[in-house]
Amino acid sequence: MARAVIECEHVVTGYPGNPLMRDVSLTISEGEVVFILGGSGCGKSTLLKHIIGQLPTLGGTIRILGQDIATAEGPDRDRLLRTFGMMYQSGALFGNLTVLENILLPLEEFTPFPEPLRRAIARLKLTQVDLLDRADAFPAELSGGQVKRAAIARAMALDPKILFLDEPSAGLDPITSASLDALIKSLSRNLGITVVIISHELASINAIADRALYLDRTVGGVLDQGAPAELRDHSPHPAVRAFFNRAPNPGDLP
Amino acid sequence: MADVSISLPEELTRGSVETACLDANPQAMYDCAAVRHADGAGLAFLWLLRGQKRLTGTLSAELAKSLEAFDAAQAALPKVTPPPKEPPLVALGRAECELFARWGEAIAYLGETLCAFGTLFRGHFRWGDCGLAFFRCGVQAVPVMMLIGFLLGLILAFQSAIPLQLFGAESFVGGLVGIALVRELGVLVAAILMAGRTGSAFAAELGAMKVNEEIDALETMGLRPVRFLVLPRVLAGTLALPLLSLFVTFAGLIGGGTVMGILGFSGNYYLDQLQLFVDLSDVLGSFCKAFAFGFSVSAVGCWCGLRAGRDAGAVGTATTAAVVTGIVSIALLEGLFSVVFYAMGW
Repeated sequence: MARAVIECEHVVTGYPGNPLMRDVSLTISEGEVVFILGGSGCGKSTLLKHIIGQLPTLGGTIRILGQDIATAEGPDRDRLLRTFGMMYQSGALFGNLTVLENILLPLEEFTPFPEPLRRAIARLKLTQVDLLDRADAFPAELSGGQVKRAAIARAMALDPKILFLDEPSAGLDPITSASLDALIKSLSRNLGITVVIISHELASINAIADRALYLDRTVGGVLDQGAPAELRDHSPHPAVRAFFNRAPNPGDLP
Repeated sequence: MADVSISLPEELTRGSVETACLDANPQAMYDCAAVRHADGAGLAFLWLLRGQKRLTGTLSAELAKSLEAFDAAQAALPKVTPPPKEPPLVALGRAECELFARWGEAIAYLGETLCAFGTLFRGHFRWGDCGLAFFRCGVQAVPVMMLIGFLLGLILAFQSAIPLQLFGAESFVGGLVGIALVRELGVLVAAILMAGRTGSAFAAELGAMKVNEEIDALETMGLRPVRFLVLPRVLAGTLALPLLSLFVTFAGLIGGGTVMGILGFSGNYYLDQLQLFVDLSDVLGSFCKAFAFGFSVSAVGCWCGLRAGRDAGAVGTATTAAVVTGIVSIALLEGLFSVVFYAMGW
C-alpha cells in the first residue's frame, strides 16, 4: 500500500469563534488524485487552508509527509512548504511579472541552480501545461484557462510531491476544462504527484478522480468517501447520491 | 579535466541535480545510462547537458520522448521579430499626438463633470454616497487639519518675530500671521493636505473598482461613472475644502495668538491687529479659492482612478498621479487666482 502523504486526525476546522467542521479525519496516499466535495459554504477551502498551514486549526492534527505542519517551525516549516504546490482559485499570478518570471521566482529563491538551468526548468513546466508560446505574456493578457495553466506551472516549479488545486476548472468551458483534467491526470501518472482538488465539476470528478471525499456540515466531517462511480450508485447517504446524480434530496425540495 | 565523468543516479530529482550542479566542473561529462526517472529539474538538466554535448550513454526511451516533446514545443514557437525602431521624429510626433489626446480626454471629463452638476437636483442623485464621502474627506480630516494649522501659525509667528524684533516691529507679527493665513496659507495647506489624503483615496477607490470590473459593470448597466461615482465625491470635496480651510486658518490664528501671548501682547491687541490687516475681501477671496481647489483636487483624484490600468500596480500608479497632479493643479490655480485678484485690486 502506498504511503500516506496527508493525514488529518479529528481536525476541527473554521475560524476562531466560527467553527465549521467538528471532526475531519482523512488520509490521502501517495500518487492519488483526490477530490474534496461538499455543498457550497461547507468549508472545503477552509480545510485546504488548514492543510497547507495558512490557517491554524481549532483542534486535531494535520501531518504532511509525516510532519505536523502546525508545530513545524523555521527551516523545517520552509522545507515542508516546498514539498507542495498550491493553485489558488483566481490563479494569484503576480501581475507585474511575465508568466515565465512567475515560474522563475520560486526557482530563483529556493534553488542554487545556474540561470540557464532555471530558465530550462521554467520553460519545461510551461511546455508541460502547453503554454510555452505565452511565456513572455503578462497575466492580464491571458485567458481564464491560460491563467489556470500558468498557475499550475508555477505551483509545480519546485517539483512538489503534492499539488493542491482550488477550483481549477471553475469558469472554464467544457473543452478547456477537459484538457486541464487531462493535464492533471498526466502529471499525476507521469510524475507520481499526489493531487488534491476542490471542485464541483462532476465531469472532472468522474474523469480523473481516484477517490472523492464528501464533506457535510451536519455530520461535521467526512460523510462518505470512495471512487466516484461507487459513491454515485452505492453510497448509503442520500445527500452523496443526490450530489452525484445532480438531483436535490427529495426532503430538501420545497 | 575533460575526461571527468559523473554517473547520474537512477532517480534524477531536484536534490540530485543540486548535488550535480554544485559538484560540477564546467568540463565534466555526465553519464545518463542509469537514469530511469527524472522530475522537472532532472529533465531540464538532461536537456541542458544534451545541448552542451556533455551527455554520454543512452537515454531511456521515455526520457528521450519527453526531451523530444520539449524540443518540438520550442521549435513550434513562432519566430518573433521585434518591430522596427521608429525614427526619432515619428516617435516625437506620436508622443505629441498622445499628449493632445490625453488633454482632450481630460477636457471632456471636466466638461462632463461640470454638466453633471446641472443634473444634481434632477433624477436620482446618491446623496448618501455624497454624505459618506463628505464625512471621510471632511469631518474625519478636521483633527489633522487643526493640528497642522496650529503648528503652521505657531511657526510662522515665531520665525517672523525674530527678524521683526530687530526693527522693533514685533507688534506687527499678528497682522503678518493674519494676512498670510487668511489670504494664502490656510487654504493652500488645507488643499495640499486634501490632495494627499482625499485625492489619493478617491484614486485608489475608483482604481480598485476599475481593476474589479465594477466600472465596466456600471457602464454596461447604462450608468455614467461620472454621474454615479465622480459627482458625489467631487461635490463632497468641493464643499469640504472651504470648511477645512476655515479650520486650518482658525487653528493657525490660535497658534499665532499663542506666540503673541508669549511675546507679551494682550489678546485684545492681537484681535485689533487682525481686524486692522484682514478684511472681508480676503476671507471671500480665500473662500473662492477653496471651492476651486476642492473641486480640482477631488476631480483630479477621480480622473486618475477612472484612468487606472487593470493590474495590481495600476492602483499605486493612479494614487501617485492623483497626488502629484492634484498639487500641480493647486499651484496652477493659485497662480491664476493671484493674477485675477491683482487685476481686481483685491
